Amino acid sequence: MIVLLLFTCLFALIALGLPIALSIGLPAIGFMLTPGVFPAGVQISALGQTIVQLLFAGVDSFDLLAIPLFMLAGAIMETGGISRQLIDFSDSLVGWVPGGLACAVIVASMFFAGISGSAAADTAALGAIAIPAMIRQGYPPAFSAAVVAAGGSIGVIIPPSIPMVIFGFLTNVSIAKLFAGGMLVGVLFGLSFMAVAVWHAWRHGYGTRQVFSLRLVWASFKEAIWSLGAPVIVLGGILAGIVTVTEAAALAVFYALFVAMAVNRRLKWQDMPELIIRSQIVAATILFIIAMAKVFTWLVAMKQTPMLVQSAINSLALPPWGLLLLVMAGLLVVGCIMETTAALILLVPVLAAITPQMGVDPIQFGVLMVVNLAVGMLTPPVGICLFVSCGISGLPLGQVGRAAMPLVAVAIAALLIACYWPPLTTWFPSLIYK
Amino acid sequence: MLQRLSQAINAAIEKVLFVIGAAICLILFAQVVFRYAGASLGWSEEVSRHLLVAITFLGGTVAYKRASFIGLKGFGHRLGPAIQRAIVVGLQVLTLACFGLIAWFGAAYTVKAAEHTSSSLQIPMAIPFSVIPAASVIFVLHVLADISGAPRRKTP
Repeated sequence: MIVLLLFTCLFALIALGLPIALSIGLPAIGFMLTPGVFPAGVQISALGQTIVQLLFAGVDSFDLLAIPLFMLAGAIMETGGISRQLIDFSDSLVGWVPGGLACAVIVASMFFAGISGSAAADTAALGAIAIPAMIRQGYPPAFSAAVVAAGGSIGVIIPPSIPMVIFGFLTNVSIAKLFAGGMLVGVLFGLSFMAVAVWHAWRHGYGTRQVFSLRLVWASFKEAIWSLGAPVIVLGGILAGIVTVTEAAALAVFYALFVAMAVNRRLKWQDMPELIIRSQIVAATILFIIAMAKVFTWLVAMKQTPMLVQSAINSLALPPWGLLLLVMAGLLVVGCIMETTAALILLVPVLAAITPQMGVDPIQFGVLMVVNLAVGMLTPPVGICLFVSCGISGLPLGQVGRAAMPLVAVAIAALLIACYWPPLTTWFPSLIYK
Repeated sequence: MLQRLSQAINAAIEKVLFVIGAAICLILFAQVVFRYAGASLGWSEEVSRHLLVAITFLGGTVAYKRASFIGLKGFGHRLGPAIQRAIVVGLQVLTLACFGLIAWFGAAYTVKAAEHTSSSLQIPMAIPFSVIPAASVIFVLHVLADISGAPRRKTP
């Protein structure tokens, strides 16, 4: 009953316009301090101190340090002129197919995803350049914004990935293995989005096609080589076991500084304070949700909710594939209405307990959950990639959301493939971590 | 007066965030370098974790001040300006109560944590814990400044 009231208050406060972090924290703290929720012997002061301990413990983690650092590395790379180089290089690779520029934006998003770890950062970094360029080439504005948003959602699937860091933190699953597991699914997502772009461009005659030239590829590759080195250093360092995920994020910051200042000469030291402050604030908005949700999930766990959900699911007696389908369908709905960090923190404790019944290993489930929530970033009313791309293009959410529907459809198809063909998520980690 | 104080504190906290952000980058870079030089730093992980806690709560106050928290616009604006204003004030009062409580219990726990020391630096745990009541007091100040001032849109 308390848990039901807790979730009702959470959704009511979000609907009233309270920020998500506070919508999670307020009811949790309120209920914890309400007389009668805990046995009579438990003192209010002890519960108050538990709240403070939980808030602290919620973010007192070396793994979570990767969040502000990847945010900062992405911000430096974005300011340092990497977006243009990545789009030009990608355009030289795929600009010759129908919908060439749209495909180039998606390929550039995949490269940027190897640096940033955040879908919103990925969308913002490329959208400011890509949306006007696509509109100039004759693509409809809503379609252009939708393509950029779709490309941005790959930001959390191809490593590094902030939601995977959070999943690993919550479940003690290896973050490096999650990163490796997301690699091929991210590529599948990119190819699926490109297929939609090619189909639309071919059917409606969007955009212009350029002639493929190895000389052009080489020239743009030389321009972008330092930027393309960032994912190699970050992922290579993590996957080879040379550095931890958090250390790799710190190295990414210094590498990004080197590229932006010494190579591209687009960033000055005096730009750094604002960049650092801005990325710390963006990171704090995520970390604050995590801290508040620690109190929320503690209360939910104290009321035995994960076990109740587990026994309710067991009573359905579904086969593993059916249970996986049910969970994925539920997550798709949650992804539409809830922000990714909040969804992860509130649902992982419950869903991680039923992973064996779904017939998937924890790495595969972690990747599937993040991929599923990435699809939610493309769907209204709470789709962070849509928000960012609408902000850049100045178009209404509904219009871009409608244009994104075919992209959402192929993303769901790719998700289903990842669900029922485990090698897509498990082969690469097993290859690296024998 | 309240608003000026709120802005001045926010400006100071933004500078603190810059220092913390730069410090974390340097500490973790040094951690990698020293480890491969064969002389691992014993304190770097603990310090950077505590700095992350500071980013969370102090950064949270700046996010509130800059209206950068993730959230929805809310349906109140469809019900007219008077109802919207009532909803905003109601939510502000709830927020005020929440951070007031966290500040109170946080201060009490910080005093208690002074008896314990951290594992590697051996500093009193009151130091890292103090960021929670401090940030909560700043939150209270920002919310009071908001209540006393003009209505401001809270969500992006």
